[in-house]
Amino acid sequence: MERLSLDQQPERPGERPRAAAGAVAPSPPRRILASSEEEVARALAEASAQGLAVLPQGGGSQWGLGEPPRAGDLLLSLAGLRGVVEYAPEELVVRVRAGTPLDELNDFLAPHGQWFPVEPVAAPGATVGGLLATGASGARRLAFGTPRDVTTGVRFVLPDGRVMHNGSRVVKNVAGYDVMRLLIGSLGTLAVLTEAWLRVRPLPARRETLLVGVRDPAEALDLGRRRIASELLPTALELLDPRAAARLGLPARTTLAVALEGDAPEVAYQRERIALLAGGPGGAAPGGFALERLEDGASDAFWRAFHRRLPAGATLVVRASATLADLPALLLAAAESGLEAALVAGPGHGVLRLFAAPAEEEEALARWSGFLRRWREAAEALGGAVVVEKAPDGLRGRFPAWGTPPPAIELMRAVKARFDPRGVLNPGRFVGGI
Amino acid sequence: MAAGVSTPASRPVPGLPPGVVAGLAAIVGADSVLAGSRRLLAYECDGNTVFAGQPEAVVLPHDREEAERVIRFLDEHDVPWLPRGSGTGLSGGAVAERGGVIVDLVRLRRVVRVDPESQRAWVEPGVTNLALTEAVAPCGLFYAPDPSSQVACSIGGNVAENSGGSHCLKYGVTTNHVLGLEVVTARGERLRLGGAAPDLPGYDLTGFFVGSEGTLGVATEAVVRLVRRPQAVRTVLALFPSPDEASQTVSDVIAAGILPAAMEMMDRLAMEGVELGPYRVGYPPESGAVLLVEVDGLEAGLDEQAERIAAVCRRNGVQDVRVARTAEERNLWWQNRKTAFGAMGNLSPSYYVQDGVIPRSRLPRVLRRVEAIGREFGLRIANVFHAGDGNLHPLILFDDRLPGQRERAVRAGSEILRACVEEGGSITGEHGVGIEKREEMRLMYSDEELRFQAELRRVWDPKGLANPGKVLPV
Ligand SMILES: Cc1cc2nc3c(=O)[nH]c(=O)nc-3n(C[C@H](O)[C@H](O)[C@H](O)COP(=O)(O)OP(=O)(O)OC[C@H]3O[C@@H](n4cnc5c(N)ncnc54)[C@H](O)[C@@H]3O)c2cc1C
Repeated sequence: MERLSLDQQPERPGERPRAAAGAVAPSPPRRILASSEEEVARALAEASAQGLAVLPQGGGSQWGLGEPPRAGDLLLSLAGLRGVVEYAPEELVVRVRAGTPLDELNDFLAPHGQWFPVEPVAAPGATVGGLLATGASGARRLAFGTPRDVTTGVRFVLPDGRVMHNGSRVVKNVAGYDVMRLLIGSLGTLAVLTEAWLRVRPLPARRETLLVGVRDPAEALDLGRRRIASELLPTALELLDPRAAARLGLPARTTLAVALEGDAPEVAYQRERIALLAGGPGGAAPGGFALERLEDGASDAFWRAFHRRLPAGATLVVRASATLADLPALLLAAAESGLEAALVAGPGHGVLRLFAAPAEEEEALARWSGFLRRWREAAEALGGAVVVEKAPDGLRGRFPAWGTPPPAIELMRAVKARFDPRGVLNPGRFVGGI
Repeated sequence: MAAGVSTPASRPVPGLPPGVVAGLAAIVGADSVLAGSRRLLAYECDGNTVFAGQPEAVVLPHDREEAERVIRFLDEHDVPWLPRGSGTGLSGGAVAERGGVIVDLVRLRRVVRVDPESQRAWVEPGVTNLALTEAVAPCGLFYAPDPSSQVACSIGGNVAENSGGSHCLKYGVTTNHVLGLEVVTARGERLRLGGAAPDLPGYDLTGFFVGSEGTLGVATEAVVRLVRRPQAVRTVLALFPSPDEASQTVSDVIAAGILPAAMEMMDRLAMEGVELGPYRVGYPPESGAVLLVEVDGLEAGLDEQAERIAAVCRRNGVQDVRVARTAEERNLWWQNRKTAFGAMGNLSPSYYVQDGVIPRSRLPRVLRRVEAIGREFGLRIANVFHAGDGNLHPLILFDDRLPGQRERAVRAGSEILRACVEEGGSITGEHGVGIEKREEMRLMYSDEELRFQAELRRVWDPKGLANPGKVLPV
């Protein structure tokens, strides 16, 4: 371990982005802050040779996702691998190091009139590498997709220290096997990402958010899915239950938040249509709708809070996903569970999250795990899934993070064995105990 | 060097072991197994006629259960095989270069289910791309990836090649629209990967399978995303003195913050070819390039967008720019573009299509290199591109009757790919590696990277029986 300890700058605990309450912040005996790809490679090769369990870390905002690792000897922080390597605004691609915080990337892009619109639902601090490793997304996936849709190339280091790339800076490329897509969403169990080429977008000239108060979730789904999403092109469309609305500083009522981001004429047109569809000013109001309009900076701030404040304030975050036709059943089951949780759901993309802070005592935990088990059963029966993104220790043992392993689990294990035959990376954190 | 990157191709195929044809016939029925050279002629090559090879037999399963049993049987008997859809591939992917069995999937052509509310469809691999879009059209939906071959090519082939099309600039390629698969792996296991719901846990095996060119197994069903038909469309046709001004326009449109659904370009020679075909637009002789730009979305603001595009064209010395006034006019422009490959038959006895990708700002430079390569090899080269995403289709014209011309065309193609990689691009944007570009894979990846890709392939196909010799250098 000598060379490792030579390079390493022991991190002071205060410097590390503190994992929010409920995330199992790992505290391995050793930490390394890698500042180059070569250092990552060397650290991994040595750790591998010694059979150490390595936990790669980006911003530390998503430690709660999945199971706590079975072992952890070395925390490999990528926070030092930071910054843009290459940028061609006219190509709409940027090559960036894995440890770069998403905020930093967007600050870099803004003066060029561009942005990277994929923002995860996660506590502040998320990095590019963490985003890709978790495959995480948020409200704007409706218009811009998920990490797998916006990544054109990656560089990565295998657990034995071999450095490789896959894909490239060009947006169309079908040369060879798509190793990149295996890595995206693999939660750092296959390799350590060191760089990515990402597609960026022109910053929308006009940004508005309409907040529509509705009677209940059923009505919100109907308005969101059947009327708004079937006609217009919002860049985000999220249903907030009264608790979620309240946590974002809105009146505690079921609310539909609609982001309109684009050229002025299309934004204006959509705003008017929604007012009409929602029965606001000039429309037939079925359930006494209230419309609030946030413009530009205020609109941006709303969505920033949506993505960050909800997870940061919770000790339990659970994600459910289903097809759009099946989403209402899952949403209603959660809304009617009687448990104290804030709910958000995307009637246009099929992902739903609940945020809660259950008391760490037997009765509450039993009720929660009972509900979550039934909820997962229902979701899986519909071909969907329920996944733990963060949970208090007391709940972990009662409710596994991933649910029934997918039918191709043996193939997944075989893939893992090719990348990481010694089981060095994040052991036990992923699906099926991988 | 090749020793390191061992792919299963090295396995010799001296013909089928005895009993294989009978065994296949027992699964699918004797009339669904073709053997004997005459009946196999149709399977000699795919859309790329440069590479040919005859299978020992072709088997046509009627459904996925039969497909599964066929593949398990072939695995048990160590027979190399490959899947085939419509045979429109342009890199030799569906060619049995060294014999073996072709598993033809044309009969698996059910659109199994459409869920309009969730915008999903479940389709078998033999369904053609256009048939899928037509099946969902009554719901106001379409399947977005639109290869120019969409009348004929199959969804299975699209999945295997990760096919693109003119509208991928905005909508993305096949992999962005395939959320799940049912596959029979080369080991004969039928498995579900991914699914219709978003964010399913586990490695993205669907994403890895898409683009794997039939080397991991057969896709027996795809779960695809359907897209809502846009409210409105505007199509702009612009004529320029040369591809330089047209290329600059492409970059400037993007720089203006507009993301068109499609930006397609053809150069002078390509224009001459299509104008001799059935879809004549009437390009004036003094135009050196035509640019077709399409924007779609909400009606509101679309005219302004089209006008902004026209203004960019004018700033770049456009000779003529118009917006399609009718659906007929738009269709004519698109037919003209989409039949460009075949139209080369009007100019030359044979042609050979390449598929390089470059960063779009390098277009003018790369075009000059392509021209120089044409001169060097003494061949005419027409250019058709998905200009918006830098995907070039140089069409190398040659005469197959003259000795050495075909080889020269292939060498010129390889030179063009080298130029693309040197400019920071790729050897293939949508047609796949197949047989054609497997050596050029070395321009993209190191031996070690290729070896690692070969290892991942073996996870699915330990015996190396599925489409041997494709994708990776041999
Ligand atoms: C005129 C013309 C225009 C074209 N335009 C475009 C274009 O714009 N964009 C584009 O991307 N391509 C284009 N192509 C190329 C071609 O049409 C596509 O690659 C198409 O996806 C091939 O489909 P296919 O059914 O013909 O496949 P095939 O040629 O039969 O097979 C192609 C590959 O897929 C594998 N395969 C087939 N079915 C399966 C299955 N079910 N499971 C696993 N593997 C399978 C085969 O083994 C082979 O490797 C064009 C071709 C022509 C001739």
